[in-house]
Amino acid sequence: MTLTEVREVSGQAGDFTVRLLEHPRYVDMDKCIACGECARKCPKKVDDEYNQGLGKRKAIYVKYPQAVPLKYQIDPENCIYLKNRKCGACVQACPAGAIDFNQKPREKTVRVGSMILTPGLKPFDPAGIRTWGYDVFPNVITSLELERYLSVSGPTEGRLARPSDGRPVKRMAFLQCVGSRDLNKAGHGYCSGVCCMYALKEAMIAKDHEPDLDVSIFFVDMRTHGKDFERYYNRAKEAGVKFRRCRVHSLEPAEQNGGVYLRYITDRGKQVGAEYDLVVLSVGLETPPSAAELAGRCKVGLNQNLFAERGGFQPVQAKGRPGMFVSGAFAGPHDIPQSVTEASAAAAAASLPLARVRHSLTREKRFPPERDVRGEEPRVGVFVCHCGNNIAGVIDVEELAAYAAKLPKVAHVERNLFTCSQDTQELLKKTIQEQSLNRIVVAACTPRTHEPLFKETLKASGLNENLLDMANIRNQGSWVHQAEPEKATEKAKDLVRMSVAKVALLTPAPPLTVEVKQSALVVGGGLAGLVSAHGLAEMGYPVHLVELTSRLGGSALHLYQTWRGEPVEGKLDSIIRKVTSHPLITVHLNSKVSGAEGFVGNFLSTIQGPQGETQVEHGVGIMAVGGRAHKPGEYGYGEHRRVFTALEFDKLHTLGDSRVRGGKTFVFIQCVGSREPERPYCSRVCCTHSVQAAIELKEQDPTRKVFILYRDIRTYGQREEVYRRAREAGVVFINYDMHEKPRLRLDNPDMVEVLVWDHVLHEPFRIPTDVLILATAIVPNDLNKELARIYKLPVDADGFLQEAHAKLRPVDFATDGLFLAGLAHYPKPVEETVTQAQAAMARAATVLAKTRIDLDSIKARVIEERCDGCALCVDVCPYHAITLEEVQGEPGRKLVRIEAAKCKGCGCCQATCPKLGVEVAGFTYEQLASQVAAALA
Amino acid sequence: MSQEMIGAVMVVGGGIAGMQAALDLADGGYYVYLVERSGAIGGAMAQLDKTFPTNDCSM
Amino acid sequence: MELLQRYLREGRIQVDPAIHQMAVTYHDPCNYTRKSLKAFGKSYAEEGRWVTRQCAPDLREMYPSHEGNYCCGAGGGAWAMSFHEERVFYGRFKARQIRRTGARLVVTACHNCRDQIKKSLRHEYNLDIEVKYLWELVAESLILPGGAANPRPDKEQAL
Repeated sequence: MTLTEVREVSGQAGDFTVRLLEHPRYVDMDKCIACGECARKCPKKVDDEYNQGLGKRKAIYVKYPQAVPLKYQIDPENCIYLKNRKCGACVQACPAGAIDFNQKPREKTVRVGSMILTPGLKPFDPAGIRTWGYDVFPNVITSLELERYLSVSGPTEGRLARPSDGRPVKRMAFLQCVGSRDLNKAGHGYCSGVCCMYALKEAMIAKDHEPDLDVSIFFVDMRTHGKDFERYYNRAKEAGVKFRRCRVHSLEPAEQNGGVYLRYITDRGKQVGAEYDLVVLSVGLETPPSAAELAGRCKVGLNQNLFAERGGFQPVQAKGRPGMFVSGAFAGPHDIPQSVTEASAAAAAASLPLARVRHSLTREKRFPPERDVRGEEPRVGVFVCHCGNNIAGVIDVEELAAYAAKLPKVAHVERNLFTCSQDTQELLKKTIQEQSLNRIVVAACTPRTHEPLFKETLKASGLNENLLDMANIRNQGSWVHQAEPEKATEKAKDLVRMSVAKVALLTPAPPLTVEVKQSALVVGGGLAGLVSAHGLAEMGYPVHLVELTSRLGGSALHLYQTWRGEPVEGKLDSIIRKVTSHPLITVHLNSKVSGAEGFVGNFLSTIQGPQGETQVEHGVGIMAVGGRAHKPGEYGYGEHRRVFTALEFDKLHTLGDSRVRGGKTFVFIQCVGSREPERPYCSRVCCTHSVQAAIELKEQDPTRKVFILYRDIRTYGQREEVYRRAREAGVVFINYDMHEKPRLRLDNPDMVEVLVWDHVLHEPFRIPTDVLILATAIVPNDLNKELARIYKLPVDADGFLQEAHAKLRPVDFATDGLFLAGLAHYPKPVEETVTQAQAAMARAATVLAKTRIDLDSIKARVIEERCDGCALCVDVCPYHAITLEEVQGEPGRKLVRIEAAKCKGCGCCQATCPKLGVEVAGFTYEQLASQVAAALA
Repeated sequence: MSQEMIGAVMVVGGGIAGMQAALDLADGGYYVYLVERSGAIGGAMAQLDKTFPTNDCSM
Repeated sequence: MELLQRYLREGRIQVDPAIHQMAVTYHDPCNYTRKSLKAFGKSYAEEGRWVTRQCAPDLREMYPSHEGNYCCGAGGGAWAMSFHEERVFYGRFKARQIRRTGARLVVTACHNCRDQIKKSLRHEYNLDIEVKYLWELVAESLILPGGAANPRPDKEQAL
């Protein structure tokens, strides 16, 4: 329901009555075909909000060409007819008669069981603050404006030019923390969490556009604390992006040529002046006023940063408002993976109380009946995707399309800007029906991104979903052959030719339907495992929970408080009790999974326990096997009695150990074992943890001297508050670099002497300390590799379990039906673990909610005339899907039989068979041979 | 007091979080009202050019 | 400053903008902007400018200005103390800003700032400017009742 807002909410959890106000679009959505004639004729130009005001749109417009729903709307503030009763050009222009100036605002009242608030963010607006000159200098822009400039659908179609005079940009600077970590100018003390990463990304993309570009990033702390983020930071350094640790205080006009001049301090303490063609302000995130109003109407509380109030153990629940949930940027400054995870978690949390009424109001999706194309001549449609300029920037797509049109059996060719967008799916459907196409080639990205989407589109057009082939001209073309565009275009032609040859031979195949067992297996009894097991059980599904040790609780057993200071122990005990007493949960302690087979909806796992083996059937599985603290081999750990890891220190501190109780000087060293060559990732929680510990030490005894030696302080998001409090309490923060790590003298058993280069005084600083605390890395569980082998799961370069897609499927595995949560995915704090566990639960529930699902039909089948029962294929099948059988009525003759449900279509059997006796549907010998022939043509 | 429970959920805000929540809920068997203030869903993410790490177009 | 504004608005005093026709720039003293904002919650940047504009319409802005402006360098007692070289060194930002505007007259409301700019920065950085206090600018622009010519003091005053 677009152009709609919430006006009033009444009722309570389970039964809310919501009064909505739908603003008039002035365009009839049933009639509008989005042809754009109205916008062409409209005389009124308005600043385009989508392009951050950099371009113009008309008073009748669509937000952007790929908008969903793709229907035009009239802006009542700017429409000449609506304001003055003059004009009406759009009415004349519209071929569908869709303009309706008589539309009025409409009220609608609906009843719902729960509400999830995700009204999103607004980028911080630096206008009016005279130190950055944002509205004064044309060459000072915000990061979101840069996104629009870099984008092919933006105001300059992806060309990077100086806004003042259109000259090319040779030198560019990013200023970090604009509108964040700044109470003085911006009124926001929190860290927006995403800007360091997006600045890196924008810098790298800008360098892609302009290889000689000189880019500098001026930062305070580089916060690349997410999965694979640190690696990206290293890559940026290697690519030549310059990093300057300095918060630039103001920008001035350059002497000549209209650039921007700034001054910064080098790490030697010298002041240097520099000129840039373009300065990008990395603006932070804030809550838009409309969201704050929405919160008021829903009686959801906001904290002092205007983000929704929530508690650490119920991170998606709006505090004090049962039935209302929050996620995304409204809940805090979150990036995309965090927002998507929270959204799934909110879905789980919102649906949990409504478990009784699942399926009460939903309908099944119906597809048109499938056209039987078996008798028809192949009519191939080729759709060449520009992918913005991901493909079109390197490959000559026009030449490619012209070439494709001449290939045999091709009946239709067209080019699309984004073949995957919703509006193009409608176009595909229409074209397939109008042109009677019965085979489709999409020349675009890898099937791994959008094959399911295109298959769905084929189904919706009445074609069998297997009549599709994708020619990967992006990952295998434009992305890897950027330096040789002509050759890349030739290769794309080859790929398309091969695809066309193959697709003509594809035959329709019905999907395989299997039932979904209505139960779940959760591996790992830590916080993530407990939360997801409990949630699924509350939804009504029986759960088996497998835990290696003799206790439930995992790493959370060693934690005392969340970053907000909420105590962990009580909450952990409470959830352990709920799990152990739940009638639907079977807990297996001292057990581990020793084997598994099956596929989504039908897994069979073997649990090895103290009393022997148990076999469990389950529909879905959640991997929550956790991680552990690294035991370092440096800084005197294990040698000196006053050197501890952070968790050890917590325990000694709480128990009042004399070394801590009587200590007057404390030194924390951050990043021990993290962000090193053998472990190039950030452990995310250690900065916040150390800072909290430091504050406590100071509060107990303000005369104590507490030092934190850090590389970057990563108290991201609203945790920045903790860093500020620590500084106010008098904790001293000293920055050290990788090439000059702190050195120790350990000869005195009652004292550790720490020698570090102080970055402010520019001289070495000697700290004789009573206690040295090492913030050590979180490392993946040693069992990950074994578990990965058992369930055939991918593991990333650092040993953590790998999700299907970092941003859009952060808790799914590529293998359907299996999900992950917690430290096994990546180091994270308590509230993020709970969120991820809830998200995994939500995603698992989407599988369990269907009692039957369709599997794809890319399966192997036996060609009985050729198979002679040699059984070589039986051994090579990694899924144990093939068995050897005697043929009834023909003594001595054996054939192999393939269990289609277990088969994954990997093709090992086909590759092994010496008799051409088994082939995979969609990759038959004939089809593959035609591709090879086409390639060599 | 027996309370009637409605098998529907309202998601207010059609950005990436709202869309994901709506999809998960619908797949889970609940009717979803996705309410969006502006004329199209997509939110702030639709304005981004490419997303880390795969450099996929954010669309 | 507010008083001057009020008098001018009410017409109790009148000024002739033709007397000061050169390019002028206004220097925001730290005390009137940042210090005042911190202590009283209000910054007095616009008031001084408004008064200046009434007397000298060709007002050029330095960049940054208002609460973000650069300090003249002589605050906190630095004018009176022995740190001559440091004071001049710190004032180089202000000197550069002034030169960039191309203004021939600098107006400011703080005695310390005016002294630093007029007596120190002007010489050390060879700035071709006149420096006036805000009240001085108003006084020299006054239209005296009775049409008598406003006696303007000699440009080169004794320091």
